[in-house]
Amino acid sequence: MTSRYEAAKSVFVDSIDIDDYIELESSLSAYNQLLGSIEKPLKMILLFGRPGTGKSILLNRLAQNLKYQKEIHYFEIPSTDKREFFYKLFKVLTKKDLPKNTEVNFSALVNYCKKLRGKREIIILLDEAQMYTPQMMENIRLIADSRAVKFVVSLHQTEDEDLIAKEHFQSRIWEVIELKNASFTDFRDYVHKKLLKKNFFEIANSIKEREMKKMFAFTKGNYREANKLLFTIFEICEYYDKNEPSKINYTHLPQRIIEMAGLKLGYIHA
Amino acid sequence: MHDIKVLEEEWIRYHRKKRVPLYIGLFLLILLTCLLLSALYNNPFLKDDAGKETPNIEQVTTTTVSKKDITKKGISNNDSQQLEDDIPTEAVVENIPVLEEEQSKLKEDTANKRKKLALNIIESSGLDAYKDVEERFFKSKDIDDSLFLAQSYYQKGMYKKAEYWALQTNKINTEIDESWIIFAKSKMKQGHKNEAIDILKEYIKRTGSEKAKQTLLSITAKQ
Repeated sequence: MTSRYEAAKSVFVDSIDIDDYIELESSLSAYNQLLGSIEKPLKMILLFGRPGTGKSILLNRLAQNLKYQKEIHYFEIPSTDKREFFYKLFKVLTKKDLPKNTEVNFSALVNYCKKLRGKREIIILLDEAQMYTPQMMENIRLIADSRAVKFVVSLHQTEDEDLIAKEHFQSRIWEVIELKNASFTDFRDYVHKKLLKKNFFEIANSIKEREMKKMFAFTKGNYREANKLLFTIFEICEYYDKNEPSKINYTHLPQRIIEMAGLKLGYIHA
Repeated sequence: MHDIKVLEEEWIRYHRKKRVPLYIGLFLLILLTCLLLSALYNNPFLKDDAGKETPNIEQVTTTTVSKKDITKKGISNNDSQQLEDDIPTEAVVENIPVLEEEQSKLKEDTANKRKKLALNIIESSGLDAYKDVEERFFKSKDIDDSLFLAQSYYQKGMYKKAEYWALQTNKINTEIDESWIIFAKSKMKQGHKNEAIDILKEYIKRTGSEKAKQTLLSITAKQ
């Protein structure tokens, strides 16, 4: 027997899939700001915010939306190895694979970029940029100085990572876009829209304002935390639906289940 | 989800813990209410007010009316004297201390103590009771007590004592009509009529008291 909650919980599996993107007031504003920044003659753009504020999905959406208009490349997984990173960069810039048993000469690469100025405008979206070493970040800056390649760097907002940002980028020409946790209104819209997008109207309707506030209090409006919490809530609902249906109210999601999920995820403690 | 039972138990513990502040709050509220109520009902000041017994006031009124009646009926001085002497001691003793408590400037403790003594008087009506009041006066210098003694002794025909207690009252407060009248009348009863007239004249000159004037008239009319 399948439960309606089984499918509902899968809605909240954390992903940066463009199909899972939910248009919210705050995310739309950040997207437009990023789009505007790309049009400006800036060499580097910093996108930062706490984990789970939607940086990756925003970069992904930007890459998807502009892929036919601009030469845009999304580096989703950071390269911790310098060779690997230069190899990827070489491929993007030259549109060719690096010959076997050869290494990228960085100076030659920078000179190549300088030659591209005015001919091509390449945008590289670097996600999880805090994973790059300071040396690699310095190389990125030098390539950006060629003005042929524009970098959008996404950073986690923590004290240490802020330090990296300060050291390597803040003296350069910058546009800084900060992503924050959702407001209560955005949070509520996010949960509802996610469910409605997959036709879970009844389930969306069973989450009342009071319960929504409780979930918001637990997650503080963080999208990743919201996904985790809702996944767990529907997992508990699924269990009751299949084994003890008397313990579940289909028209009103009980606070008890939210609190149980909160206990499981460590938001609250017994 | 295999850990649902564990999670349920955990939730019960959490729910119980969550309610603790509520229970504590409720308990404190009840405690506070009880303390407040207790403080209200045990307030000695409020209790004193509540303790003022109406029956005593009624007794006083009754006594006063009966005296007035006697005067109005025009009974002769001798008869009046006879009547005054016949007025039961208990009736007078019962009234005064309680009635005049309102004007007392003494502390609450003293007031309570006096009330107890007044009740003793009601019960005993003997001379011992007067001694208690006398002792209390020496401690408190309360003119209510001294005036009460003056009146009581005068009514019992103990004019020397009545004169003494009226004098004690006058020493503390020189403007109490009743005290000066008892003082003058006691003098007269002891055969010092001229002295009584002089006293009253002096008092009338100083205060213009109507009561004193009437008493003076009645004394002079007897001549």
